[in-house]
Amino acid sequence: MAALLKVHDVKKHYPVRKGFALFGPRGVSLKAVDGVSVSVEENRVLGMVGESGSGKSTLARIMTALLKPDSGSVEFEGKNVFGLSGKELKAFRRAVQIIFQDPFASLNPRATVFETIAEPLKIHGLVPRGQIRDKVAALLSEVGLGPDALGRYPHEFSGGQRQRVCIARALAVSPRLIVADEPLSALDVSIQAQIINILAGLKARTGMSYVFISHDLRVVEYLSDEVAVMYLGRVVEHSGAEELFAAPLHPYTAGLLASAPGLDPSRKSERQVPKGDVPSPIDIPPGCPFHPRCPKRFEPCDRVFPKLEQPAGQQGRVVACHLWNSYRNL
Amino acid sequence: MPLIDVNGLNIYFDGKTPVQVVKDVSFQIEKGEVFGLAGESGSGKSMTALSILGLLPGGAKARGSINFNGTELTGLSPERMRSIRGKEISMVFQEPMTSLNPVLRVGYQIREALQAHMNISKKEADERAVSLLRDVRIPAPEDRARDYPHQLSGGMRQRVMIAMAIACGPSLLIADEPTTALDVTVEAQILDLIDGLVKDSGKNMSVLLVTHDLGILAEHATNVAVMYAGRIVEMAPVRAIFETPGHPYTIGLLESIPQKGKRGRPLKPIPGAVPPPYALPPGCKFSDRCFFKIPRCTEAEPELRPAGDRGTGPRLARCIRTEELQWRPS
Repeated sequence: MAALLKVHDVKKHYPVRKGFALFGPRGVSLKAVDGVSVSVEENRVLGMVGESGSGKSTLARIMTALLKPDSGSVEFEGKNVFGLSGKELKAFRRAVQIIFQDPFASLNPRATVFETIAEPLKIHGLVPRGQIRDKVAALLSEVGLGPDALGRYPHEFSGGQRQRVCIARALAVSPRLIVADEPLSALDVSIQAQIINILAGLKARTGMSYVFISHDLRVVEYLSDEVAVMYLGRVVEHSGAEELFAAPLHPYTAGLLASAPGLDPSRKSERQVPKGDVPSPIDIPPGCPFHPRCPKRFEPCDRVFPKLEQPAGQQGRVVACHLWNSYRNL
Repeated sequence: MPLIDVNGLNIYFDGKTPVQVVKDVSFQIEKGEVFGLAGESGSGKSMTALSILGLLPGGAKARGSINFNGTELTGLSPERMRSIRGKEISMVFQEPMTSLNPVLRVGYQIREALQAHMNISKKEADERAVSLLRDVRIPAPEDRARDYPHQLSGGMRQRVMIAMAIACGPSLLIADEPTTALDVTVEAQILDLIDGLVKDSGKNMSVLLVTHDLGILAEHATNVAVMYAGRIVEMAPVRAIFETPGHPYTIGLLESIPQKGKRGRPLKPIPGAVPPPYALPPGCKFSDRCFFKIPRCTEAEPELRPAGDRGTGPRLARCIRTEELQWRPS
């Protein structure tokens, strides 16, 4: 299958100074994204999981060309998106949409819902003037809002309703790919389920693809076809969602799964939770970045950086862990 | 005798039209148990927790009885309340960064909590602060005691908050969304820490765990009360809530959470949103969103009443049709 969006070896480092901001030594950098390659195929959902500092939001901004990486490339349908301009860039902006985490901060408080959703339709000239109102109403009904919402302002809506408006705005331009960066975390549980169903329904009806970024493994498992697990700016494991959740290869993935709360009161005793906190992305441990927290670390882990490789006999999966590469047999 | 007995608690906000945010809430917490209080935003769970400590926001009035170890807490003088708060009942809040003083070392802040309630020397208090940091499994506690809050990670800060909360050996620890701001792996560590502290206390400490995440309660609570629109709608031992729920709202919450191995199966979210406290439907307050509603539901508000055992424990449910509900986890 042809990749819709292809991210290749993307890096984004931010210079920081240690100590008192102005006078600290130079040359330290925060490695937000440090060599990530992923791709999204037609009508597929790529789930991206990670904790704070894993670089998942930076990657979302790079994928949507809102942020330029220091090196590496992002290709959409075979074209480098950072080389686009004029009409081609406009077409890319239409084809790839983003939904942000906080629906309170991502809507213009002074624009009505109609104005918010009509704007992309006008910019891209997608609908004759006379039909814009009907089109906006149709988009709202796609996300479960009635036509009475048209003339209202964002402050009149709850968080879940605002997130629906954000989804309708993204849908207005019939995108090929939606990058959703933690779209549920500001919402109540019962509302989250409503939004999940809307997203799943749209994928089935329109053939769209998603990059779905979340820290909530339950939701990622539910929605994704394949999953990339990120840790400190890198992908540490990437495979089909079913295989990943059934048998995680990387100890970090296993730890994340063990930490996620389930609904079974009898499960508790068996779990093994990773120790300690995620280290700061300014000060990434040498060797395998996960080694200080890893229950399975052995000799090479604090010394040798594990490459993202396909382990023997694991078709279609890659993992960055010495347990699964040649070091295992040393 | 239970440690705390909340009986007929009502909380109102004064104003031109008084608004009732908690109605007729009664529950008991036994010595050495973790009691879970679950609900979405606006359910009244935080108000209930704050009222125990006499920390309701201005304009809010509580009526009813809160009996703590034989002492009636409602109507207690501010001085007397202050001597209980932080000593016999203490609290951990959601955001550790806003609850710690940013310009004081964490060791000093713990010492302050100790000296407020105990007649001990500065030196003794400092030693005790370090040993408390050790109790909450902070590595190198002597060094960390000299750190400022910003030097610690989110998980470490929450551990410091817990150290302060348990400093005077409280018999009740109220934890209001203690892990909502934390990463999944750290969330699991903090919850395991709280569990461990309860066990180590030898029935001398109970916890009121307030959360929106039912998953947390499945693995950490002994008994659970589910709140909706200011009322307890179901209260039961943890297994009863998760295995044989007796209220349509509890079922709706469980059906809203994607579960392991259930990819692609549509979720059954609760339709609509929680109504504001001044616009609740007549009769049962959940009736406008309920899949199990009959005309009689809107005639009178149902009582919270015994609803059988079903093999998982005795429960109370506020639903006239609870006996007809046949939900089982799939």
